[in-house]
Amino acid sequence: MMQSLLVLVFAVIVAGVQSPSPPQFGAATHGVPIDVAVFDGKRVVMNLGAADFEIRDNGVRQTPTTADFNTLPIDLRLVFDTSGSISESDLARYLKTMRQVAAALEPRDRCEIITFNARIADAASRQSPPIAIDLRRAGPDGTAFIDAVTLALVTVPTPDVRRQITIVLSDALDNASFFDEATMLDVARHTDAVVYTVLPGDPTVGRRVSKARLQAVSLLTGGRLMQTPDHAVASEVNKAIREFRQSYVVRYVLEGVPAAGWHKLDVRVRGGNGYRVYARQGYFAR
Amino acid sequence: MMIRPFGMALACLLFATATAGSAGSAHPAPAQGGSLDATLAAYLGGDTAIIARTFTRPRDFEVLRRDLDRWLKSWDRGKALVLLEVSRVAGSVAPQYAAIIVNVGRVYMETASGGDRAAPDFAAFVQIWHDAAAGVLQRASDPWKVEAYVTDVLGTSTSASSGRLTGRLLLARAVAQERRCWDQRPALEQASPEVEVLAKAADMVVPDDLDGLAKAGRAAKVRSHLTCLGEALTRLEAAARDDTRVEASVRAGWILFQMGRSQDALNRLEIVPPGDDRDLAFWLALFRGRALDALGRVADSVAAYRSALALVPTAQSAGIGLALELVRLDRRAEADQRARALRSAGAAGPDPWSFYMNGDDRLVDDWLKQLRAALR
Repeated sequence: MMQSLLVLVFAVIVAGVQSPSPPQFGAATHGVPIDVAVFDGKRVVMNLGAADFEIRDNGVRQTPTTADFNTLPIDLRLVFDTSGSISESDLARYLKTMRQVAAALEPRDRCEIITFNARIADAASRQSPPIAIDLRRAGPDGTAFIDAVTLALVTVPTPDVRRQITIVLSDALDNASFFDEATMLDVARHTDAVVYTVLPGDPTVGRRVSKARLQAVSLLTGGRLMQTPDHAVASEVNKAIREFRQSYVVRYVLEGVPAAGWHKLDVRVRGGNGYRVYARQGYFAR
Repeated sequence: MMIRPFGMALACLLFATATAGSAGSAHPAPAQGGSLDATLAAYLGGDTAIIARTFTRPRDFEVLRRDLDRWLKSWDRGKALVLLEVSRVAGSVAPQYAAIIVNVGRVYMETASGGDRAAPDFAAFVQIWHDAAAGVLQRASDPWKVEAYVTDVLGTSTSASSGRLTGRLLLARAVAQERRCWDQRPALEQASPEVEVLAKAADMVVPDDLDGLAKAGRAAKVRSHLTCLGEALTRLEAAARDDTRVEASVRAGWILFQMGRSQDALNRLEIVPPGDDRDLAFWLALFRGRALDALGRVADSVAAYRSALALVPTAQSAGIGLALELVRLDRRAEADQRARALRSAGAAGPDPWSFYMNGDDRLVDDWLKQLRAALR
């Protein structure tokens, strides 16, 4: 009798563990979705299947069920620093960049453009191409980088319908935010988007930048930091989008791990020694 | 606005003098000749905008400075008030002159003789003038100049200065320290230790020196920042008078939060919000939202941010705070809707957070009105 009870209790516990709530960053009906980009040097690695991925969720090995490659449309969110540290010529280049990026989108994609100085504003609300852009430097002088990125990382999960990418162009300096770096990183852990950060200009020449701050946001979300000369910003942003399109969505049904709380992820490719693998560092679930 | 030489501007004032009897509506047209007396006459005639129309370039203030010694001989409330108005305009046009003009005014207040200095309301006039001057400097100058100004005023021991130990001047000195701490906060232009840990975990090479600080220097900067905040807290406690007690508490609460003492911050912020000071009530609610969040009281934090937004619906600071709390509550669609509304509103409307560090600058317009009324 005692043995039966123990088995029953164990079964209940296991059932609880094996029926997790969907992850907060992406409420999937087919399990946990993870955006994964794989490179061999500068070359994107294609033709990988679910079995090629090795995923540990809070240290427990999971079984990937699918690995889709470039099948879903994207929601692109561009975040541009238009503060005083950005010159008029920068602004003109950014507008050109926005137009070039918007022109390269697929009809089923959606795009929105956010600008910030001391205040945060839409240069384009979320829409499908063609994108109408209204870029202007407005509001009081100052740079609210942390507030702007924090706000831009508030997302709604769309796991089976769309993939979300946010691209932030800034030198990451800040003198006007109410919130702090810790808050921004916390929201980065909650966001559904993969965040690429683009640092324009040459950081070694007379500019103070917080490269690590940009890097941290990208690392947490599975994106990466890209540094580029001013004249190549547009091509770098398009490169980030291409890279994101060429990444995988790997899914697995959570096993052997309590559902609620922070899930630290470790994603690798079997036999992929030397590959660079970009995936979010974890996700929150309830 | 058309830019013109100061001489031309003065010429404009001569016309203003001639038309002072009917001034207040039409702007004067340029004329020949002119003087600071003409500026004063036009101003006293009701054309308060003449200051902004006259001083449009840094050079205008330089010329003014040369002429002031001759002009400021005997005591005249109107002259004192014009100096204050000019310093306010300098804050927008040529900030480097704001402190110079304010200090000329301070000396004039102390040393000029004659006039109505024996009038019963003279002490009140002086007090409001100094409060307003400190407010001007809080927006236009660095904290050191604010502090130097307050120290000079409080250190003056003439009969006219008795009773000047006002809460507002003491508060201005505390806010100068608060702003120094804010400008020097360690995370402003360099990555926090958390960022470094993240970056290194991903094999990123993090330079030891991101912004000119070696690691040892960075630790020292963190300690120095805490010391700075502690000094600000002490000054705020010393500044608590009848007319400043609530604001001193609100600011002390924010300082305590920055020191990592969230519960102490919340305790300090458990005060009745002022009914007639919307900005102060907003800051109180905003900082409560932040402290409550740090204590994990998400629902209470939501309520605090909603209170702030009820006071100033366009405030992005409180709006972002509310969106974040909604994310924490997993009310993602609502959070997203809130974020979109904030961005859509853009730069429209005020956010009292944006001028929190400018201290009493927000009160200067009201004080100027009181001083103008005291001329009549």
